[in-house]
Amino acid sequence: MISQDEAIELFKFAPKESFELLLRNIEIRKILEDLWEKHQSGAIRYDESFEKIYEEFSKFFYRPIEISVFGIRQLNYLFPFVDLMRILESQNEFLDTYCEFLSSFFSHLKLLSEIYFTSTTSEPVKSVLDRFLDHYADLIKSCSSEFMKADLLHEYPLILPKKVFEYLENAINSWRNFSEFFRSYRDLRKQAFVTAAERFIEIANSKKFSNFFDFLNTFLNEEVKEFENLLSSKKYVEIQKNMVESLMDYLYYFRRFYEGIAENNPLNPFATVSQMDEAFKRIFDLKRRINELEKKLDSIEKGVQK
Amino acid sequence: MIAEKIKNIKPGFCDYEVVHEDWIFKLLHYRGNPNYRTPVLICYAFINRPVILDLHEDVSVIKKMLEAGLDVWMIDWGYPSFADRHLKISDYIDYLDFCVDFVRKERKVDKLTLHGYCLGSTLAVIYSALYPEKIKNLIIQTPPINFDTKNTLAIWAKSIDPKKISRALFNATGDLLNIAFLLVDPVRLIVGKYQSLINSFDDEKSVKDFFFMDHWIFDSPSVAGDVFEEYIVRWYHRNEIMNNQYDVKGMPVDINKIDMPVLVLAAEKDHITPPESVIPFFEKIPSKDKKMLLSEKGHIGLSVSKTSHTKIWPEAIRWIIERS
Repeated sequence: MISQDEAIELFKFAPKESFELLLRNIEIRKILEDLWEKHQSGAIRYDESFEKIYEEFSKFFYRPIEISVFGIRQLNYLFPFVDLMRILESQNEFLDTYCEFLSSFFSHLKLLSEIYFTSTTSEPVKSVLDRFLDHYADLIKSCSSEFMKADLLHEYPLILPKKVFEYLENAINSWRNFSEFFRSYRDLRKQAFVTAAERFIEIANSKKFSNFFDFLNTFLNEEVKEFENLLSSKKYVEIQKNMVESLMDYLYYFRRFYEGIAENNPLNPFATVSQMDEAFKRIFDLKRRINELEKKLDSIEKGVQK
Repeated sequence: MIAEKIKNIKPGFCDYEVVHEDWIFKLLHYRGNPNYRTPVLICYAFINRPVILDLHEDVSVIKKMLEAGLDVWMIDWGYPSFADRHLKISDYIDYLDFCVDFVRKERKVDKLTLHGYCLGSTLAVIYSALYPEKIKNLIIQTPPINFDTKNTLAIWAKSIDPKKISRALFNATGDLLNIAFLLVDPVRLIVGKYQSLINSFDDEKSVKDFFFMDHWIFDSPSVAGDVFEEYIVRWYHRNEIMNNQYDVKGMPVDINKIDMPVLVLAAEKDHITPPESVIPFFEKIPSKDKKMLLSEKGHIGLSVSKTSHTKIWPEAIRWIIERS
């Protein structure tokens, strides 16, 4: 129906969403054509073919959830967590020991060579840049004093304000709520799909469709009817509302948690989006005041001209 | 190859120049040879892009207006970003007022024709109630004015807490809105529509028309967070405009002041703003010169279907010309 090369070309020119939906519909078409063949030679039944159609039909709508899950995985690598801190600390000890070993091994070799040659070699003349780099390296080395090695990092929950942990707790609770509502939401939609598919199977098994397009349209019409009933039902609207709200709470609280970590790091050189948001709010308030003043000036000028 | 057929598709046919910009807002003027004194200012919705009225040569409403000798101006509300989250509906009304004054001054007229599209109609109605002295004719296309309707989208909008969405995402993002619009009629929009496309792979015109439309559909700007909160709570939850409770910066919006000629363009199969979204308003306003044209199509079909271009638009344009 459409080759791989053609699909790649199509991706260049079609909107991303149209491209995805078209590819999914090509899969749906193949499955329906197989079902059509089965229908011509006998009865059809609800089997994995319908499950595959449902999967292709639904995936597009579950994108926000994929983004949320992916988002937290990304952030987990950027922000220090207890487990990660412990790994870093144990690795750090290992690296320090290795550095100490290399340093003493180097001193040992240097001393040995001096004894062997009975004289020390003269220092090579260094360029200004090399001297600067040596000086800079010494400066950085002097930073890692004993004081900096306090092994407290994995206790960082005690460093952060309590509010930050409330955000984390709220985020986890919201995700838990979301998971429950999402499961009910998914079940309702699936149930609607299955009910319509079974009704379609009953129709298909009780008569012979004259052509594939009648077969296809009857299937779609049954699904349309069932989904129309579902989407405005009280139960669906309630579950959808709870699902969206708990997902939004999860996104908000988790972001505030990460922002809390960043905002409480005195070395953090970046403003958080909430801080930026407050700044944008103030800019808009100022813009409105300027507009009002300009209008007043304009009307005063017009009054003077009259 | 389908890619070959669609590679040059770019919605938008008529030439225009940007005559004013204010951050993301723009005022556009379409190039033409106007024969009528009263300019037409189109106030587009702050959801989706105005190019639907000029999708391509065959279905361009703008082209039809220009060919009829109208002087056409358009407000483009742009793409709100994270930085625009605190835009308010009053900012949209202020810019609309600026554009009205700009066009009036430019064309040396006291009044103009204001044409609102979808949520742009809501802005146009609010504006006309606030400044009736500046509006000669009001045209509202697929307008949501009465938000107390029973269509699925309205039921959903009335059920959500928009503050939670803007708190989490800052703006109601284009992707989120797209998913919501597709979910309203998922079988037709996700499967039926694309199965029809597969059926017409060999028909170049159908393929092109399809992708012109999809380019427009998925080119979705975000709705600024504060605007989203206000329009869901004050329009959908409380239906403040119809109840004469809405105000802009303390100025009451009284729809009883809409006494200018009014043309309503509605669509029978509109699942976003069904005719009930405007009929109570149409019956309530005191205008003595009011007319409603009902298309048999849906929300978008009213702008781009062949039937609408044969039946609705010639009559709508005639109505405007007779009052220009």
